[in-house]
Amino acid sequence: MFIKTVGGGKILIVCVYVDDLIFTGNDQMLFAQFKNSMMSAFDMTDLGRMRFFLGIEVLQRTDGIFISQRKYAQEILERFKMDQCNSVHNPAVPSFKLTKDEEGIKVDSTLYKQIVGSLMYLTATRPDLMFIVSLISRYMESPAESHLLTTKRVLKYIKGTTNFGIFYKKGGNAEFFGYTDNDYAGDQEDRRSTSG
Amino acid sequence: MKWIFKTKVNENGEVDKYKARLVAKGYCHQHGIDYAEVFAPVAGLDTIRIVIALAAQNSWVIYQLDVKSAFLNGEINEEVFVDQPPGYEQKGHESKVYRLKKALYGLKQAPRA
Repeated sequence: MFIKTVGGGKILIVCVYVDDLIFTGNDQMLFAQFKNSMMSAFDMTDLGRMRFFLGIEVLQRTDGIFISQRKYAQEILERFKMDQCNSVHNPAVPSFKLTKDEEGIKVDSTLYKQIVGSLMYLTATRPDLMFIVSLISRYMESPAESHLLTTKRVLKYIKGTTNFGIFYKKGGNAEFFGYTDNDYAGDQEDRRSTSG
Repeated sequence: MKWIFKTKVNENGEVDKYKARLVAKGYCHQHGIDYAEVFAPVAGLDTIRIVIALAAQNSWVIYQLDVKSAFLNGEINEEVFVDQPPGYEQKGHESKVYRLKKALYGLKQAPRA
């Protein structure tokens, strides 16, 4: 990320991702200057307003900005043959506990890792999946049927919520909030702390 | 080096364009000789979300630019030699190699160039 500030509170922010870049700020002159210098140095395409970046759909509306990975979520469901499944209302059954399940029947760990990896990328715009994805990712080393079933339930939840995302509302103050919840006794194996 | 061929289709499934790409066999690289560092300059997703949040809060518009064929822009510093591309060998000089001036797909240096 690069930030340029000029007197009078003028600001230009640029983010680069390999050959894709986004920029924002509060001054038309800085925009024009930056765009011209980029255009003269490289062969560039002007995509106008940001709409699609790294598989994230961006909707710039008058009341704020909405980001989602609707298309990516749909692709995950198709890739793992879950696009015809019935949806469920939550990513896991409340107060459900996972264990290492060492006696359970083992499943293909490559497939399991592929699903978890795809879900991890989806957490970019889906904080509602963050907890369950962190949980299932702890069993990637030796996944059993119980873990795969948990993962499949997450996919079923996604099926009914592909259009979920994050909405950043216009205005408001920049105050930062954090919440934490410790669950020491929730771990069935070693009772180590899990924060979420 | 080898050729990679790809057919791009548009939304309607019709042929849009044919792509031919010459790639280097990067797995032949030797660390310390052909390359020293492997990295690409990227912004993390968290950073991008922060920028989006900031823009939303201040009612700024976010614009997007994209570099056409980014990989072909970069010059490389290390001396990298490649075989002659299949089908384009110079008659009588088949055993000669080329020295690369710009990055090729498959090179360890490519993401940085």
